[in-house]
Amino acid sequence: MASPVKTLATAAILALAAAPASAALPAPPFDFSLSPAAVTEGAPATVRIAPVRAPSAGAPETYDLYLALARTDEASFLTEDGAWSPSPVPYARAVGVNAPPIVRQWPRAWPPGEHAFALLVVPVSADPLARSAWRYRPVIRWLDVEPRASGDASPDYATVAILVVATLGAIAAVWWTVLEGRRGTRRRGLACAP
Amino acid sequence: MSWSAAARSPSDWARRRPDLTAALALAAITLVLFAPTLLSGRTVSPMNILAERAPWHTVIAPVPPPNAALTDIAQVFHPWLLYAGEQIRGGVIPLWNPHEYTGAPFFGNGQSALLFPVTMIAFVLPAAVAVTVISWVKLLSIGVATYWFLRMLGPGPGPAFIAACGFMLSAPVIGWLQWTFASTFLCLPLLLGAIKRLRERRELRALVLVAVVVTLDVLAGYPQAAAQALVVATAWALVLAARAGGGLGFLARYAAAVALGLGLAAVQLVPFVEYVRESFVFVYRSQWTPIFSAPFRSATTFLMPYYYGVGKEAWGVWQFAVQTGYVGIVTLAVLPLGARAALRRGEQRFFVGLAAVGLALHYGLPGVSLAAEVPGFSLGTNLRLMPVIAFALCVLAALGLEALRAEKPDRVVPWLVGGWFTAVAVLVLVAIAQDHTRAAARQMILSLPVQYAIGLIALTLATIIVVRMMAGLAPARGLSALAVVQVASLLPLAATYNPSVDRGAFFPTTPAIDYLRREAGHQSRVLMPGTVALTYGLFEAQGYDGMSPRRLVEITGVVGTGGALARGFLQNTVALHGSEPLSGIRILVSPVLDLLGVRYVLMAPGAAPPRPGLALVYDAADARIFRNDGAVPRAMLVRQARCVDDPAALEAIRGRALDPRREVLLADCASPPASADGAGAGPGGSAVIRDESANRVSVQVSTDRPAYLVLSDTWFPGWAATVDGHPTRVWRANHTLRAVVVPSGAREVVFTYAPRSLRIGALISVVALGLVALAMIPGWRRR
Repeated sequence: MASPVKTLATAAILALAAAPASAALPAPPFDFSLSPAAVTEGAPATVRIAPVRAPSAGAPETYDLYLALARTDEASFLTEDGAWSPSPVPYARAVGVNAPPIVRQWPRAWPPGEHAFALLVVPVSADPLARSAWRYRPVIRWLDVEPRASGDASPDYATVAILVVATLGAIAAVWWTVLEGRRGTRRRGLACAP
Repeated sequence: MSWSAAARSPSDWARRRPDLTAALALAAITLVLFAPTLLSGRTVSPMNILAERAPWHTVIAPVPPPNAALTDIAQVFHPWLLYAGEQIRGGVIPLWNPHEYTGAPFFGNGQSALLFPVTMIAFVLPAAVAVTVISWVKLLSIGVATYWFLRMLGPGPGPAFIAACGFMLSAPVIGWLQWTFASTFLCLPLLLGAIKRLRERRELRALVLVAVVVTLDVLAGYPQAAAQALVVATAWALVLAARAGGGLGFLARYAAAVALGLGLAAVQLVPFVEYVRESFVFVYRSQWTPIFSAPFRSATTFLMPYYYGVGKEAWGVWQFAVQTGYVGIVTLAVLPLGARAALRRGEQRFFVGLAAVGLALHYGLPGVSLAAEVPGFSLGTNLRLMPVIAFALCVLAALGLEALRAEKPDRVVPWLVGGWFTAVAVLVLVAIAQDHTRAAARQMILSLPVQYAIGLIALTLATIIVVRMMAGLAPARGLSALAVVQVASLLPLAATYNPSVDRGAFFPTTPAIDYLRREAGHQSRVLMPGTVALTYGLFEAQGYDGMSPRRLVEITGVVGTGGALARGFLQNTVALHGSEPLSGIRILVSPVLDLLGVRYVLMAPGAAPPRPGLALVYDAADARIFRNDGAVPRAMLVRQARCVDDPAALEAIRGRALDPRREVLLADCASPPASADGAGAGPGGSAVIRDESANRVSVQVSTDRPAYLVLSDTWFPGWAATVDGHPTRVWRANHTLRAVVVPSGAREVVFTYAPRSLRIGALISVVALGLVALAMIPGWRRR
């Protein structure tokens, strides 16, 4: 690569990397996790919320923390006792930025589906659905709640077996063609040899 | 001519003109898709979506079953084309759309794409025909542009044709076909090809070509994709610049071309930027945009496009066009060959990188997804990269097929192809084994095992042909067979995804709509399902353009589909991108139904009044219509005014502390204009809308005292007014509406929309056009 071009390309990449994200809201002073990543409907999951960084200067020291579904049309908030509320209910109230981590069991994960959870960190008593009140961007984490008995059929082993056989047959046909082709090439190569 | 000569001639003709033959073949494929519709009096449009709503359920049949993923087409893009065509044929360039959102910019909304050549078909043909022709032209253009670029990149006609078919008929292209988004897919190959030409030829004409394609990209009507295409193009330019010699000069020419292209598009770009600044979507996205990714399992759609179903049987996390990556069976079969061929050839590595980065962003590879937060990207929604991924994969397929055609394969290649086939087959089988018993998956007409069997047979066939070509099968015969497999694997999706309806079902009228036309006319607003009132010349307060005037949203409440509100829940603002519709139900439950002049509410037959105080005025099989006597007329006289700041105005309006018939709240003033203030209460006059077009409203006013004429239409930069021909200030009234001061007497007030942003943009475009003209003069070109 011509060196001026290399310099230019490097500068462009660095500028892009150093540029602040255009989403104006900063990351919140709390992070959270849901474990395990996939649970069966009705089984427990663990919610862990922990302070991760000091808030910016002048920011409040305590916040209400909400856990909401991030992809549903309707507002849904996880309450402290693991139920869902259609109106805002804090998962933890007035939590200090130096507080110890919050670790709670969600006793029965529900409903089934691949859920995106949002941790909303808002000043105490602020409305989490009023985005103008947000000081921090939400943190998104996923949890896959596998249905336990949702009308899904039990595995259809006969169908799976047929598909396995078909797949093996297809794989065999392809590899037979590959090996046959190699043999053919070798034969042609020998025929052409001096 | 002898029999043998006659028999030979078509193939000879085709052999001598391979590119023309390929273009004709692409045209023939698209004709197969669209000619039957055009010739049978039907139109490619998802009007069947309206069949589930009053009042259209009496005149449109729900056949085929509606696909909710196409709602934007029925509610936004086709109504716009109809509106634009009518206005242009009437001699008006529709800068403004007064029918939705109590009025919003139309030309500058970023997606109406009035200056994009393909859109202009709607200015000439009847809308019901134009929408089909537009889809056809878009599809064919995408195919031909892709073929042109691939040929420029190196592959021969056969590989280029097969790969062009792959992109042209891919699930992302077919899925987005009727959106303006698909118009930008045409620009991607054109842009990359033009840049390559600019690298190879130090000609002004090559620079102008890049500029023109950049212009097309911007005018195409999907700003986010236009920006993404420019990012891809710039990365491509940097890669090409890395070739020895003249890299910096090339980059300078490229930068000049982009600047010139943006300058040419300024006439649309500058008004768009103005709307962005006044839009609700910018309020949300500049704050935070949720970044999501598709589950990796949805990669199964590269083999099975219907893995997650379509329409009512869809069960995936995302809609079909977002998560389906299907690019044809041959494209999938030769992918490892393409990647290997590209990695060995300098600049062609770019496409491996493009596909890898696109896939990493789409499937949310840890760390890489942070790129979605860089400036520009975060203003769009992610998960719109599948078309770019599909394009990159098709380029790799062309390179792989070319290697197959022109190069002697080494020992590794057959093992690579066999190994790839095995991996794809086994991985998809594992997914099927887990998913085929899901309740949602079992309800699909084409079950997952059947889909898999079809995909497996096709992939096996394609792979065997590829391997046979390596073993000595004549390239021409092999490529012909692969072309057949490719087209056969793509046509079923392309032929069935976008439904057609009888042309008579294209925004048909019903007795209820006739009633609204008669009773509401220009003087008041209606509320009816969807956002299609503009197709009937009616006026509504809800709307959908992906932008939304922000002050309107501030008084009504946030945008959203309205589904949550309809079920009695709170709208989840966390899930919003800001580009959702401002729904009718949001208007209905808001405190501003009266203020916005919504006098008629259309509901399903037998429906109860949606809120107290509404009178039933129409009751028939197609709908019930309720009248809201509390609604103010669109134009009315008010005697008192108060100057307030925005928070105070919002508090008064949302708290229902404002009587809009008695008082108007003015913004950006310290005290109300003396000529009208304190004139006392009481009507003492009238205001009637006499004449109206897209960019102009004429109101006949009669008043015994100075008064404020309040027009319950959106205030926006660019609106000017005259009273009896004398210019007067347009006040921002009641936070989002317009008002002017009217002296006593009989007066004619004319509001005109002529934004300065348009004039500035037009001036820049004219200068850029002058530069292009200069560049095309032979004497200048030589310099």
